[in-house]
Amino acid sequence: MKKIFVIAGLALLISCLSSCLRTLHPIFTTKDIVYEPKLTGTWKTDNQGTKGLAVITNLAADNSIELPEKISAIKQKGYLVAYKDEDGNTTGQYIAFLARIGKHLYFDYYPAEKKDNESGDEFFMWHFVKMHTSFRVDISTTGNFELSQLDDSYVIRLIEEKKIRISHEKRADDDMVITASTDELQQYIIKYGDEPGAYRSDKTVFTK
Amino acid sequence: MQSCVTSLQPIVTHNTAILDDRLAGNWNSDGQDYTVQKFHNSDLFKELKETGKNKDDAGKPLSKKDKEDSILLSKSYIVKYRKDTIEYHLLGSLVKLNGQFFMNFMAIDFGMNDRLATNTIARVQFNNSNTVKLDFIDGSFLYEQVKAGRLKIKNERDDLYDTFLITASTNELQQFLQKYGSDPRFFNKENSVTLTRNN
Repeated sequence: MKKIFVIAGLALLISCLSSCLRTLHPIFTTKDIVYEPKLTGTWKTDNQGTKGLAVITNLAADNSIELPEKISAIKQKGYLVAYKDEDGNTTGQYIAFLARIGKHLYFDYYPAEKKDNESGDEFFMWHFVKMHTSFRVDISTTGNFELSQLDDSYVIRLIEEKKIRISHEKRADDDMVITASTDELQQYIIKYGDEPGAYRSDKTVFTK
Repeated sequence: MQSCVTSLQPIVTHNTAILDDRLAGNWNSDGQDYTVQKFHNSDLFKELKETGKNKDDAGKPLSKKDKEDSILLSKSYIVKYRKDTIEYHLLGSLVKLNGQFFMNFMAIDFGMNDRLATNTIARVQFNNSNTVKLDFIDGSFLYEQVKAGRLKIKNERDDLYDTFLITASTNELQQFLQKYGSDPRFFNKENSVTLTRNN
């Protein structure tokens, strides 16, 4: 019984993982960036009945966010996406770039941090590397849009079935980390971008 | 501190981790208190037991990996400290390589889905029974060496977002530490912490 407790402990020690595809590298290069001013504004969001708000602004309009040097140089082409719950509390904030990859538009999200970071102890936070998450963006004729998030279980299954070769590492806890370069990620997206199974089923709908 | 090296893989495995009685206790560095407890004696372990989150696993046979994880935890420490009303926990696992001690640190967190949990590495020097010095590997120096091609260690680097992560295996990391564990260029004052035992 003692061992069982210990195992439960180790599982909890590792950060919880959702089924979204997280990658170490971005899915875009600077030449793929598309800027759509109509995406900025305050949006109502709905993810399978979970409602909230998203405030999308031009990345250059907010000086409070810590930006890597090369991202700072292209901030006019980027967005800051702040998700809020129904009470108006910010639940997540991301540096986002819209990119055309193959036939579709995609958002690359990267966690945003304030310059005067108060989100946690600096030493503790060094133990975490920020990851990219990606979404296909489908803009309707009305101007509303929906995000479909790339699903990691689809990639992992393809890797395990040896159907694709995409750079990855297995961690000590057996979790797979996708370390593919931007070029490899784009090849994956171009090949599987129209496969419904490559995306999570819960889309987020953005309406004005 | 300036910046630490972050590694995807730990430097310690279940069969190389060791316990050292000099580590457990209450410590202080620059006014900050730290508590180091053997995992099984730790408050966190007690909390996990009390929350009963093991129900789903009860009765299931243990895989080889589960058994190895159990062994590693039984030979690890929980480092606990509090800052601005937030309590932080790290899992620390000690290994001895070429006569020197090194500690692998992994942060314990339950909710950062958009971040990857990684490991940091420190050389451990027991000056006496009341003082322990932790020298974290200088991340900036290692990065510059790798970038300039002067040092080969498996890594992932993204220049657009300024990301650098060591992806070398545990075995490669141990070889690296055996080679450079005494090289002063990899350790500097800014990345060192001296812990003094609280009386």
